[in-house]
Amino acid sequence: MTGIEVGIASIIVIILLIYGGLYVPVALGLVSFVGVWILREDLQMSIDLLSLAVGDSVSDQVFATIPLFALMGLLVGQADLGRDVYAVANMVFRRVRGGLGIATVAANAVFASITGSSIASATVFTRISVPEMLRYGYTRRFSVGVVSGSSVLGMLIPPSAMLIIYAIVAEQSVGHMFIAGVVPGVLLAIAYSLMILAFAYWLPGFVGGAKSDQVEDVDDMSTLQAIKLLLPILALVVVVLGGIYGGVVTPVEAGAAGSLVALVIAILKGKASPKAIWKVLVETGHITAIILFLITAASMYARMLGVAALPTTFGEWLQGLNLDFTSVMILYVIMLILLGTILDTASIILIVVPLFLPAVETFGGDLVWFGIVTVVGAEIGLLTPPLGLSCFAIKSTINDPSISLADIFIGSFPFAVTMLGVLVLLIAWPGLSLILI
Amino acid sequence: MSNTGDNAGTWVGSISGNESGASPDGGAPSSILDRISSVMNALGSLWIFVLMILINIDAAGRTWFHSPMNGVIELIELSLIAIVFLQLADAQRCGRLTRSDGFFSMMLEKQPGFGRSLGAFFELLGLLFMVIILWGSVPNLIEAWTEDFYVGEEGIFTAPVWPTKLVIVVGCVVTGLQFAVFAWRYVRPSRSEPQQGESQ
Repeated sequence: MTGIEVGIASIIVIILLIYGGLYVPVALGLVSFVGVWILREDLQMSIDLLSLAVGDSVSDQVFATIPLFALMGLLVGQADLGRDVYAVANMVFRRVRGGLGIATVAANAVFASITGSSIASATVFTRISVPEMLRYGYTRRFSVGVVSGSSVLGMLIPPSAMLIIYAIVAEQSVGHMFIAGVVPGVLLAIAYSLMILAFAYWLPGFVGGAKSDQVEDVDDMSTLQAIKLLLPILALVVVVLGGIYGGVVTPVEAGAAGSLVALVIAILKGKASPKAIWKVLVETGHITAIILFLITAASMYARMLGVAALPTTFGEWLQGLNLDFTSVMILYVIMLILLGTILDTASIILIVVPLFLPAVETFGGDLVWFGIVTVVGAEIGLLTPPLGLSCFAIKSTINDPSISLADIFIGSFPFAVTMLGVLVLLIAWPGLSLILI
Repeated sequence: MSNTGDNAGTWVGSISGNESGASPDGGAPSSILDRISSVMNALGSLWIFVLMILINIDAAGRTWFHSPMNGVIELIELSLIAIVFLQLADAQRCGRLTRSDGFFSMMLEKQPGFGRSLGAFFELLGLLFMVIILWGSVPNLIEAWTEDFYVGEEGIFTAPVWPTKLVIVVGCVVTGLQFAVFAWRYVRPSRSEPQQGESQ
């Protein structure tokens, strides 16, 4: 068999095994092992490939961003900062039609700047904002749809686990990826808010919330109170993004500093019992192992692809098709969305990006921009059946049998469509992603 | 039906929900193996905390006092892979390894016999993966030990490489054994079942 055939066969086998339910890192590692064995007909070389990948794949200090930002996100959750943001956003948008929905989007956008995960945001805001919206007469579908839709912001607005993972695979600076995520994230939040407004005016039946005009006499929070609630979050944003953007600290140091500040906030808020902190640390450990092990296995896969010379050949083949870059990107996005139906975002990035990088480079595409497109495209799958992970996270958190998984998917659908629209904008105008760098 | 394991993305996830990290038996570690996994996980978790503090000291020292702490970067680079292999067995035990189990859970429900065999097969593949990594990593450990490999610059900061290599080997063994135990539980339905990453 030629290298190309082995490479393509490996990818197909990997996807089938993953779909069947094999652990993703095991699928990536074992198939790469067999692939290299077939290609080089040398067992020892195959074994070396694996142990080498284990030894050096995650040995760069930039990988420390994964445990550190995970720790920070968990501490922020422990300190209940999500609830504070939501309270303030609620006060600001309460009198707007569909206001609680917009408040959820806004709170998610702010919360996203101190945490790095969509699933995290979905879990936190299912608890906080769904009951509130239901209380004010919003429909079930809309309430859960807003939460799952806006949870995507967690992955886009830095710090973001997915931007870090992309930066590692594509050898881009984590700092640049973080900065590049800001404008697209804000753009998506604005697009969501406009969509909610439009629905509230033209399709109020879907949104509900008729009683929202009667909330005038809810006790108003004073501006001072609002600032007090937002202060800890502001401090974290300044430490993390300010530090990176100002060039004072590296992303690793920003993660460490952010964790420390988050720990202090949790202690000051009286939420840092030794037991709670220990739970946070154990969870951080699990997340670190899961993500870094996945990255290690993906690096075995990337090395196997390299041995098979597949990425270069694939790039040449794409060029040979005489497609323009736009068509290539359209194909790419379709592929991301399809994969998003069976895989989590991290796995998608790790499997697809090594294959497409050489092609994007020959077409002259910017790799930071390509990363933003990849993350947004792969995240659309979080909102769509059959395996919309954000939707599942909501379903398992919500504890309300009257809200079915189908309700959540239907409620999320307009948000998935809006995301696709924003993705088109991001592809058409790379400047949106690159303007701050 | 359970969802796929986007556990990789669960940065805050289950922490406030009190559902994380339950062992298949739902409570205290039931065997010596589980206890070893938990202890290793605890070590790794503590180590992350220590690193976080060290990085802060280094950054603060450099920024404000012009006196960085030597060796922090080298220490990070040695630590990360060790942390992974300290935590891996426990992550596996808690059903947290990334997997897409939509099809698999459906099989377990509708065709329990086939589903269980499939589950056992997947665990055995996990074991095989660990064996291969172990096979390649033992020589690395021996080499690092006998040749006294170190990182850093002599006179400023040096750290030996062998502890990391040792952790990889131990981690492979314990994680491999966890896979084997899970495989065994799938084919012995009378015993408690491994959970399907439902920890969300």
